Order: sequence, then C-alpha cells, then structure tokens
Amino acid sequence: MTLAAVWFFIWALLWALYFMTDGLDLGIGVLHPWLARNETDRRILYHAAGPLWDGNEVWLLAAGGVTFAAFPRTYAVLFSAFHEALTLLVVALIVRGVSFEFRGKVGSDAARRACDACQFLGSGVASVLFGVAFANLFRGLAIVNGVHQGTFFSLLNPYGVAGGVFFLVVFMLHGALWLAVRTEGDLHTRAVRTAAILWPVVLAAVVAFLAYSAAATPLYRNYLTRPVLWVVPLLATVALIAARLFLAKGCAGWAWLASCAMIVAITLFGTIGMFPNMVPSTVDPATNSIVCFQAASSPLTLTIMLYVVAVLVPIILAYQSWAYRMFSHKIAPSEMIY
Amino acid sequence: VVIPLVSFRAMVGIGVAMLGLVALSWLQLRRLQDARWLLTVLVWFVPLPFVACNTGWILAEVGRQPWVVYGVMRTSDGLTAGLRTSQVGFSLIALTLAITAVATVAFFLIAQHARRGPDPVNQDPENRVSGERSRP
Repeated sequence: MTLAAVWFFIWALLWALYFMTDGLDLGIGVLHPWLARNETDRRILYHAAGPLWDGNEVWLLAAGGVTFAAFPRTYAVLFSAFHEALTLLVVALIVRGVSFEFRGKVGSDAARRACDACQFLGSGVASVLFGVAFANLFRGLAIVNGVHQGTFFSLLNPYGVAGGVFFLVVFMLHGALWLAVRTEGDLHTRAVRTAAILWPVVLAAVVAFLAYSAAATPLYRNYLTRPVLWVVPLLATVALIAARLFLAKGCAGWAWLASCAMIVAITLFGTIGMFPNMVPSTVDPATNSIVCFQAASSPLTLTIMLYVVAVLVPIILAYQSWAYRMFSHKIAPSEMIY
Repeated sequence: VVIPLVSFRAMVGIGVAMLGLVALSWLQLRRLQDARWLLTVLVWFVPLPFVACNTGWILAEVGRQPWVVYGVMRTSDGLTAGLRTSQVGFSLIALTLAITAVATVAFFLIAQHARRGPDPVNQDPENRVSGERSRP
C-alpha cells in the first residue's frame, strides 16, 4: 500500500520534472515566429534550446518507463485510451527533434524554413497535447473495464482544450524567460518584453484553470479532506508572482527558476488531487477507475526500482544542473553550430 | 518457416561477409588506396548493415509467432481490448510517413556529405590513409 503510494508520487514528480525541463524548449519552439526576426535570431533560439532539449526528454522516457514498470495496468489503459493522441505526440516530437539536427546541415533557405516550420508546429502540437492529456486525466475518462469508450475527439472537450491552452502559455512564458537568460541586446529586450506580456496571460490562465478544475473535476476532494495540501497551489501562485518580481528587477535567471517551481507545483497540484486514482473513470468511478494500489507491480519490483531511482535520479539531476549552468551564459555568434 | 530462414541467412551472411571484408581490408591496409576493386566493394557494402538489421528484426518478430512474449503470452491475447482498425491504421500511416520523411532527408544529407568529400583537415600529405589519394 505505502509502496504504491510512494511510487505514485515518484510518478507525479517525474512528470513534473519533465514539464519543468522540456517546457523550456517546447516554449522556445513556439516563440520562434514572434521572437526571431532574422537568421541570427533564429539560430540563437535554436542554440538556447540546442544543448538541453534531448536531455530534457530523458524525463519523458523516465516518466513513461516508470508508468510501464511500476503501474503496468495504468500504462496499458492509458496508452490505449490515448492511442491517436500519443501517435500525434510522437510524430510532433520526432519532427521537432529532427529539425534541431537537420537545420544546420541542409543547404537551402527553403529547407531551413521547412525546419523552422517543423520546430514551431512540433513544439506547439506537443505542448497542447500534453495539456489535453493531463486535463483529461484530471477530469476523468469514460473508462469501462479498462477500455476507453470515447474517441480522440472526446479528449478535446472544453476542459481538455483549456488544459492544452494552459500548458501552451505556461511553456511559452518558461521559454521566454530562458531566452532572456541566454540572449543580450535587442533580442534580450524583446524576450523580456514577451515574458512581461505573457505573464498576465499565464496568471489569468492559472486562475481560470484552477476555477474550471473546481467545476469540471474532482481534484479538490483531497484538498478539502487535508487542508495542509493547499500549500501546493499556494506555492504555484507565490512562484508565479516571484517570477514577475524577478523579471522586473532584471534577474531573468531567478525568474526562470521561479517559473520552474511554478510548473512543478502545478503538476503536483493536479496529481495530488487525483490520488489514489491514476486514470479516473467518469462511468461508475468506484468500479472503473484505475487506482494506483491495484495498478502497481509486485512489491519486489517496486522495491528494486526504488533503489534504482534513489541512485539514478540524483545523478541525472546533478548532471542536468551542471549542463544548465554550463549553458546559461549569453550565446556568442562564434559558438553556434546549428 | 521461409521468412525466418531467409532472414536468418541474410543477417548471418551479411555479418560474415562484413567480417571477411574487414579482414581483407586489414591485409590490404597499406595499399588500400590503390586497390580499386576493394574500394568499389566497400562502397556497395554501405547499405548492407541496414539490411542485416532489418532482417534480424524480421527474424525475431516472425520467428516467435504465435507468441508475443515467447512461451508466456500469445499475440492474440496481447491485443489491446477495444482497439479499432482506424486507430491502428492511423498510427501505422502517421509513423510510416514520419519515419520515411526523416530517412529520406537523412539519406540526401549523407549523400551530400559524401559528395563533398573528406574535410580539408585530412588532406595532410603525410596522412596517407584518408588523404586526397583515396579519391581516385
């Protein structure tokens, strides 16, 4: 029981870390048409995400892998229910990942424009799909005996779409803040201004999403029984306000870290609200919901994995923080390879 | 039985041929740039590892039918409940298109790279192996 609960929170934390890290480069990808005015700008945008994006996706593999190994039932139900959405997500991630690698090697301007289009569309589609997927988890799916009764289009219900837009603007703000860290001159000014414009949008989106969640989901049930948990959404709000204050003081790095804290807090807000459900069902929830205690692997598997995670996650965190520090200086034209 | 048999022989055959080619090239290392026939054969061997990889996959996938996990679960039992043909069709087509597109672009980039020849750094007259003379 306890072991499954511990794993539920490791699962939630891995997703939170994934959104915190990959949100940065997905956001930058979406910001391309707004921020990049010429070829140099575009190359700087690629370089701001370049050394980090594939390392960030390690967390996606970790989160997906943990779902598979720790909660096989959840994995089976979820991946089947999201079949089309996952296919689209994989294609979007392939297309944008490849655009990083190919852009510096293709010879013509037309091919570079095509890479830019792939980068923008892939990043945008992936951001929205993650939001849609998680909003639908918060809301619950029409699961009966482990089979999703709806289609891809039933995922695009108003709350699901709201989640998609919410993730998109949060990632865009996150990306704009990171660009403010890594750029100087005119591009830096525009990145800061974009972040300042996006901030009230994100604030409105957070308030709207929290309010909409109260109406459309059972997320607040856990918060009403354990009021101490309100710390988590409170932390998200404080972090968002801190991001604006740091931005106003010109501390883009701290503003970005505050945005990191906000993304983690928001993801945890939703997942804590779901506990112990992993895939809540909207059809007779008591019998059809996928609960972490039933979906979990054997205690032996969970124990072995706990040791593995306890060793590996700190190692990944350490080398990634090192990489982020390494690549947090202003980008110089001489170091650009893409 | 035919498919696993052919793909196993293709995989192992290509593997052995490649090992043989490596041995041959080692023996010829000093005169590698002058051995035109060997260089020609080497160029034709470029796509073969891909063929070997794929025949290996085909062997593994076809060879273990009707099991999806050998001796544990049959493929028919591993099928997702409630899966629709349209879903499988969509993902099959989407992924095939994406991977074909990426492979095509990659192929052209490799061809472009090969046509451009070795980097100027390697054209050091003392470095015989990868020097200009390797391009007849």
